[in-house]
Amino acid sequence: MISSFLLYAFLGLGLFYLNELLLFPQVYIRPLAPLLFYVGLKDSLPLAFALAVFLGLLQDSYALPPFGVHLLSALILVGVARLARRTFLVKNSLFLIPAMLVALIFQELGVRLILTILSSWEAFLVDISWSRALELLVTALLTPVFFGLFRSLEYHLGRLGRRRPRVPASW
Amino acid sequence: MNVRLRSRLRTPLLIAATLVFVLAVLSLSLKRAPVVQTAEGVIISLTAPVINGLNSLGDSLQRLWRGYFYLVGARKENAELKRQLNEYAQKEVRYQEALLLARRLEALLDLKKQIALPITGARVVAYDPSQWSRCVIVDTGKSEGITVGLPVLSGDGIVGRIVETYPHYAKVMLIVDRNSGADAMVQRTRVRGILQGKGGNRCSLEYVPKNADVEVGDLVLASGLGGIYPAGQVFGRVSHVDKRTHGPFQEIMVTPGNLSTLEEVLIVKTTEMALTP
Repeated sequence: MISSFLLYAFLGLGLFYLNELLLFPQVYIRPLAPLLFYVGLKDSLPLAFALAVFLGLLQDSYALPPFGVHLLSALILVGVARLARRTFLVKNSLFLIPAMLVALIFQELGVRLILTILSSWEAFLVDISWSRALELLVTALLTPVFFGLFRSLEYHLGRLGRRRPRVPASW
Repeated sequence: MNVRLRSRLRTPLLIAATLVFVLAVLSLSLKRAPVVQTAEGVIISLTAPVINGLNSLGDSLQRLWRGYFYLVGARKENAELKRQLNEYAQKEVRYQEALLLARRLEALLDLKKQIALPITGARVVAYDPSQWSRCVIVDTGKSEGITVGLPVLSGDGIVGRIVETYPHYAKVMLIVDRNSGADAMVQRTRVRGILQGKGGNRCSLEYVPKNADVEVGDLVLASGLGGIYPAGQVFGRVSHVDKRTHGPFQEIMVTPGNLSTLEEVLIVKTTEMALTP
């Protein structure tokens, strides 16, 4: 579990740096969301939660208070991934996109709700824009690409000595 | 049996523990507990140098490409012209401000007001990439004498203020963040209001009566009241005015310089001049 956590944590850090250095502010997507969703679907709950805590705290450190909002948003993604795994079993990339979109919408609603509780009711409705909707949609559309990247990384690292997952993912 | 019970309870316990952890973090954050700031400081101190290093590496490669292989002279000339243009734009604003001040006071222009502010340069190393808040991390911190509350400027005007400091880094809340508010005035008519961050790259000038004279294109400056930002520094330009609103105030939108592409900023190391009228 530790080697898997380290792999995903470094992958998360890499995606965070990619977003900071290359994507922002020209391209608005959430590259960490597919990783959390992937781990939430595929790996054990403790590992998914540990990664969500790590990446959530990382993002919280670079944002303004309240500290913990990104952490909660990361946990929401993992939670939705676990539910999706149980209820409508993500089988191929076609189902991945709507599942991810739903997870991102839940994440957005969750963050808005917690910000509303912590500040004011106006926080729930602020900045509802097409650009934000597009951010969620593009992230969801890119999810199969990200999943492919994660799987191929896992495969190649497995060839380098890291233990491969016992049960291959259905997608 | 015991093992079965333990494995059955494992997931609910894990979820409960995680929820307790999240609530504890949120609660500590709202109480501004030092442990949260320490955790933030540790994470930023560990991760920001990599961003800084990669940024520098990228810049070096870009410089190498642009400076040596591609348009050697034109790039340098362009950079110099841009720098001069920025300088002249800032000078123009300062001349306008000085002229209005001189007219209004009819003679007594105090030369002491022309004294340059004590400033230190800093490089922006990271942005908050989420759309839920607007802040940046700069590579100057406590060890360079930076304290919470200091104003931060760029070539386009006021950027924001320091809200957190770490040993070698500091967090800057941008003026467009929703939690940002400052006393401001319209340069042309001296109409005052509160400049409130609106997220994205927008601010609004609040509490300006409908009969006040404000037009699109007017420059909005820091009034100096509140002791946060130095008086006379630029916040941005009025981009939208709407007087057909409910209530006694008009709706004024102010667009600052582009705060999403900041690279270098200046930190004013004192707020004393902010009270200069």
